[in-house]
Amino acid sequence: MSRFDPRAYEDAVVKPLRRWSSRELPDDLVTRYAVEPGMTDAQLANRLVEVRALWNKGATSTGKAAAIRGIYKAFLTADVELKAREGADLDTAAWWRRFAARRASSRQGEVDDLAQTLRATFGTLGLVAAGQLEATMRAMSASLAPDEVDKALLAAGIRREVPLDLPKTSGLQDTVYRTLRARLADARMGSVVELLHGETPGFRILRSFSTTPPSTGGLGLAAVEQAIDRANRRSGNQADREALGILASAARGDVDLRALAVFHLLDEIRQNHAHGVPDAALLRQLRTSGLDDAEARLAVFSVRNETAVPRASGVTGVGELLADGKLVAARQLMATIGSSEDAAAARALVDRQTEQVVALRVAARESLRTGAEAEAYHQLRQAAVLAVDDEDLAAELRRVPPAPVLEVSTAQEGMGVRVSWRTPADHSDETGYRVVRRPDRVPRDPDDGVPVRDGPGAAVTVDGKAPAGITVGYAVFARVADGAWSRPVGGVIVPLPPVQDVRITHEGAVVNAQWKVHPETAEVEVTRQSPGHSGVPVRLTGRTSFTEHVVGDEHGYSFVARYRRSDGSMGSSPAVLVRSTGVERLAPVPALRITAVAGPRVAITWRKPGPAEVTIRRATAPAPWGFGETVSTAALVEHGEEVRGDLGDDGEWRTLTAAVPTGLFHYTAFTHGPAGVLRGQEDVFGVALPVTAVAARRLGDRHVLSWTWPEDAGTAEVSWPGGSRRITRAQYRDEGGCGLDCGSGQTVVSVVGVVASAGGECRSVPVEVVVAGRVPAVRYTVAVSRRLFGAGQVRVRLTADTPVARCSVVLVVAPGRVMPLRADQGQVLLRETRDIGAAEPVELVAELPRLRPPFWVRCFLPDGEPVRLVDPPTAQLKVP
Amino acid sequence: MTETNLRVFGIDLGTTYSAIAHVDETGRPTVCRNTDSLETTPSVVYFENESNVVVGSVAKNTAITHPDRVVSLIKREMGSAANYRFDDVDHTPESISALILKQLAQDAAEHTGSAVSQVVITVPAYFGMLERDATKNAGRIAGLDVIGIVPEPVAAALHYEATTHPGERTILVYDLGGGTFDTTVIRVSATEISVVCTDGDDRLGGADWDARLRDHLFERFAQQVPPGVDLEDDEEFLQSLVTISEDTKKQLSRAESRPVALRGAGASARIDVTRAQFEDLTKDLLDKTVDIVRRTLATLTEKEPDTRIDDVLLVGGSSSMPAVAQRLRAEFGWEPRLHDPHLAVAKGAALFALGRVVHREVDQARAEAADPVSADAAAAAAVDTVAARTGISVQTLESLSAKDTHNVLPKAFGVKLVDTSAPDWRDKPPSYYVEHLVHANDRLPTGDRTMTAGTVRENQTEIEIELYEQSGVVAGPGLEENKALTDGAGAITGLPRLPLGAPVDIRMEVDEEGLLRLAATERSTGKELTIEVRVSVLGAEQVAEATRVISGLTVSS
Repeated sequence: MSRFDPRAYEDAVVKPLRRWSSRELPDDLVTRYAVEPGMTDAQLANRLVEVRALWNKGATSTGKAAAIRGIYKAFLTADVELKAREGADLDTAAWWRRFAARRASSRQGEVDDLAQTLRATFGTLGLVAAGQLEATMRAMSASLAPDEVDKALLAAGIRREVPLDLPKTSGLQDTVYRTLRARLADARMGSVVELLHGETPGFRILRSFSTTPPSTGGLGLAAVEQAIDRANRRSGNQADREALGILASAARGDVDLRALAVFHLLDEIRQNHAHGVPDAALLRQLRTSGLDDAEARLAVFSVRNETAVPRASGVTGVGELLADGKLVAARQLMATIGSSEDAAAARALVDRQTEQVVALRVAARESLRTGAEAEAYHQLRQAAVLAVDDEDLAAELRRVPPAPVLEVSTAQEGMGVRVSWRTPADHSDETGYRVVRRPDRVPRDPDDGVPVRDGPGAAVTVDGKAPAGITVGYAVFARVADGAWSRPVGGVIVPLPPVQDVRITHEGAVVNAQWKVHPETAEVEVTRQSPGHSGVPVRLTGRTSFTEHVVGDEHGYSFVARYRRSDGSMGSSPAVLVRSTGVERLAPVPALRITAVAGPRVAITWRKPGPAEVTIRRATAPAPWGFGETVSTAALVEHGEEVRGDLGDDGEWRTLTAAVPTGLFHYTAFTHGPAGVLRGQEDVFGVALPVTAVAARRLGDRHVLSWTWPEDAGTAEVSWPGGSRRITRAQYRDEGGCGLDCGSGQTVVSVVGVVASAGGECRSVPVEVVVAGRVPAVRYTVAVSRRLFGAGQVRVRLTADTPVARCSVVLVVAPGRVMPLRADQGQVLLRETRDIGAAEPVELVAELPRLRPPFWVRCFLPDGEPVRLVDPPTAQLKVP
Repeated sequence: MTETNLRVFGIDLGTTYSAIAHVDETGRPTVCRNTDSLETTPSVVYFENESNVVVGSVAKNTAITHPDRVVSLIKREMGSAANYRFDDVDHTPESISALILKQLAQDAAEHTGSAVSQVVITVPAYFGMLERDATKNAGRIAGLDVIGIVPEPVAAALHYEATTHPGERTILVYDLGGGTFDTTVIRVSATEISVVCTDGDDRLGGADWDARLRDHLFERFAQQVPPGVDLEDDEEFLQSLVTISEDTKKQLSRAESRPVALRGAGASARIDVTRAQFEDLTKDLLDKTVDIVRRTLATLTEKEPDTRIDDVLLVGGSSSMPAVAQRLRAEFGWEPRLHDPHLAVAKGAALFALGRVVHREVDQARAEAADPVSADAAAAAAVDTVAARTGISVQTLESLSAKDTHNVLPKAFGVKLVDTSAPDWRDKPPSYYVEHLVHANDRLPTGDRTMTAGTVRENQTEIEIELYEQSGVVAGPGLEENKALTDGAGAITGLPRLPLGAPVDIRMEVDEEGLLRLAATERSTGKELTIEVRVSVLGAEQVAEATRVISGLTVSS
């Protein structure tokens, strides 16, 4: 009999019952009372005392968990019931032997049940985790002793196993891993092992890598390089070579290729398991890859026992955060990883990225120290991409000043100073520039002087308030948003602005000049250059004007502004040179002639008043100034608008032809001079749209004209040599046109559209039409005489009411009943051209050929003959 | 030579962009602008209908709406038997490349006012025989007279030497183009441009950097899309992502970070990408180029132990990524020069083309001369004629043609032998390997390389010879590490019963143009087998048929 060990008893018998959910305690009394086979009655009695004593202590012990105390209490309660039931027999070894035998025979059923259940559930893999076994037994209410459980496991062919914690990350960047996976598939390789060592059935890899027979190089860089060498000797294996390239880079980057290979093997297993693929299929998949059978079972078993973790946790989550540049968040997540292996993997990833950030920050600080701000900025930007959630880093980045501008140059511009610079290539559009001015030297910092310009924009500014005569320093500072300012770059200049806006007039013998000067101008010196004289000082009125009398037409003036320097000496600006040319006094335009031309356009003609420029303005109202009055330019532009068009000169006359609106307007001429503008002649003229489609029809000595009226015209003025008439639209309509009596000859008739307007008439350009003259008429008679024998005779007598010169006539005879309508329908008897006087008939005689009647004799005129031939009665023409 | 104006052109037929250049009257290489007034044309082809094809930026943009009718990155398929069918007409990589060449020629003709006929086309240094011949065929199909195929690094070095006159120097050209990567060590002097060694990866280029960025943007954007929405159904979005990725990559060469606005499947989002992130995503790709550079330097050390690199040239648009120069600086301490990365190859090809023409005319004149004295005069006259026809000075022409160009073999070639190294080899099924007679980076022409093999059986009456070319970027003896050359096999038959180990003498030579000749002689009988291989995917009839098809298509930009 073995010594009773209370601690071992509690571990083996009491503690397993902590999660017991059944109401009844297991009926394994032999185990509960720690009875051993072969005990004598005395030994049994002693054992029962020891056990009950332990129960009593355990039930009341404050050093034990409540659940343990509860079990001891349950033991004690059950003992009371047993003692009551069995009495003194309970203390005999014989009773216990009988109990054990009885129980053994009844237990087999439960063992078989458990074995069946285990086989059905875990039989494929042949493995069960301790937790799974306990849960199964609880669910079945099985109260088997440990050895009975072992029997059940053995019968089911199941083994207890602890699931492995397998790699949940490849160690590669996601895209690179996926590329590796795709290339392995393209190369028809089931695993990294196959890629490196060829088909290797029964390899082991979950805890360490081994093959049978052993392979050289294992899963390290050496094996990869050997595989690359083999692959390089073949062609058509691009996928293999690309996959090997990825493995080589990974191995050099200290990625654990064994873990990568396991991850790849299990990648699809995990996905399929998540989709509910049965274990048998998963197992087959792994066996196909060449994995040892026991390892394949263990792998599937471990995958099944992996707790579902959210995607963004663990090493995978850390990897994702690092890929997004969230280094701080990754560090925080890393701290939550429980598994030491995962935590180490995560720490390695975090540390690697942290080292990169630190290296970049150190490099950036060194760059700043050496004045390479752009480089420092880039380095910190790269670091910030790796740690976007690092506020310190972001603040450090903001503190990096941009690179200073390049090549600041200063130059005088007008009254001010132009400051320009070149911007470095890495300055963006958001970079702002502050230009600072101070006397004597270049400003050292952005507040060391007067800001001249502040903000983004072009790399140039003009300081309109620059002092003159003293040394002035400018510096340009750059910064982005509210970041740090760059180092200054600047230059100095001594501004000596010249006079500005010189206006000079020279009329007759008087020259007037005015100009502007810088406020700090001490004095202005003006000298005149004339033919035969140079450098003649001109007396000024103040510092900004002079008036002097001169002789001659042309003079040159030099204007120099002087400034007092800080040392008391005087500095001079560059000279401004201006020429004056004497001109005659301006004269107004005395006369204008305005006519309408086709367009509608007008032609305005005047005599040129000398060389001065003349403009014509068109307005709806008369010019408010008198003739010859001087008008300011500002006032002039308020009066109507300038007529612009084509200018033509004919000696001293100038004509301006321009398109103008229809209607009545005031046209005024203005002569321009340096002293102002003189108002000249004004005329009122209105332009109307002309009539169109003019046509003429003669009715005897009368003509009827027709046309299309323009929109506004209510009247038309029709004129012809010797006459004219005005006709309104209503009259035109009533008469059916415009009737004219303009004689019998050809004449030209002109039609002008007229629009009445307040202030006068607007007339269109005339439209002319040629009216043809009346056509003279020639009459004739025919007399036919026939002989019985021989040819007959035809006599034609021609008369005209007005003389007709060179009238051509064709006499034709045509047989048949139908009168010929054209000369070519008969036989020509004669063709003659004669002058026919007004009262002097002309007789034509022709021989008549023998013709059987009926036949016709008729006269015709050739085409285009400007005469009208009047036939006699038909009876004369026909010989029946 | 007919008395017409002469103008020859150099074409950089790139994986993602192509360019065409000529040498102007001042002797300077000048790139011809296309109808968009740009110097480079996207190597993208849009099959609009059965009679019209569009090449260039319009085709590239059309990929967004008609991705199934647009072909890009076709250079990566050169040398393969890939087939593309549009409107019931089958196209090969050669015929599609021919369309690109045709458009370039049209643009150049319009730019210069001269018809484009004689051209030199560049290829990656690492292109094998198959790929080079495919490129030549593409030119023929386009109706061009391809007077030469020149490696891209050689063209770039030629342009560099012509524009900087560096004297004798050893230059490493790091050429990272849109689809291929080459590293080549070239020795440049006044009279010679010699490739010392070359290495590379014909499937590594800027397009791979674009693809990484594209995948990254896709994944980040996918996180913004509600569940249940499948972005991969939105073809237009996927295609626009291709263009956006390329543009963003270029912008990240100038800016530290860029915001990218994406819209697809009803969602829109702005994703910020930094240069650091991009470099992280593509680190393994850059690592691979560095590994290849190291391999090149190792080859250089083996070949010429005392040679040092004097200059490093960065060529190819993708080499302008800041990470490239930084990495080379960090790894090797070099100060690489970005020497007109987008156009140096086309310009160098134009110089090469002109030099080639002068060489040919001079050689022909010399060959036709009666004696050496008149040969010199005839040669000088030939140069004068070329000068008159091109408007380029005689001095410039002489300077261009004075340079000899020497290339190296890009891949190893050998014969298949039975592996008799194991003591019990007779008791096992035969195991084979490839014995290389000429090796990668052997200078061309190689001259005769010989070996002696033997029969493997008693009473052997037939000897089979099979030629193999190195498959991968590194040579290896395994059969799986080499590929058999089509038309590269033959047999010596009708032999008397030969004893085991009867000697067979094998002689191999590769000439300047890449023609491989092998002669195998059975020593006792003197019976010989000769094999000449100029490898090609397309036969002559196929080239003729493709020429007919392509000439019937209207190509526009």
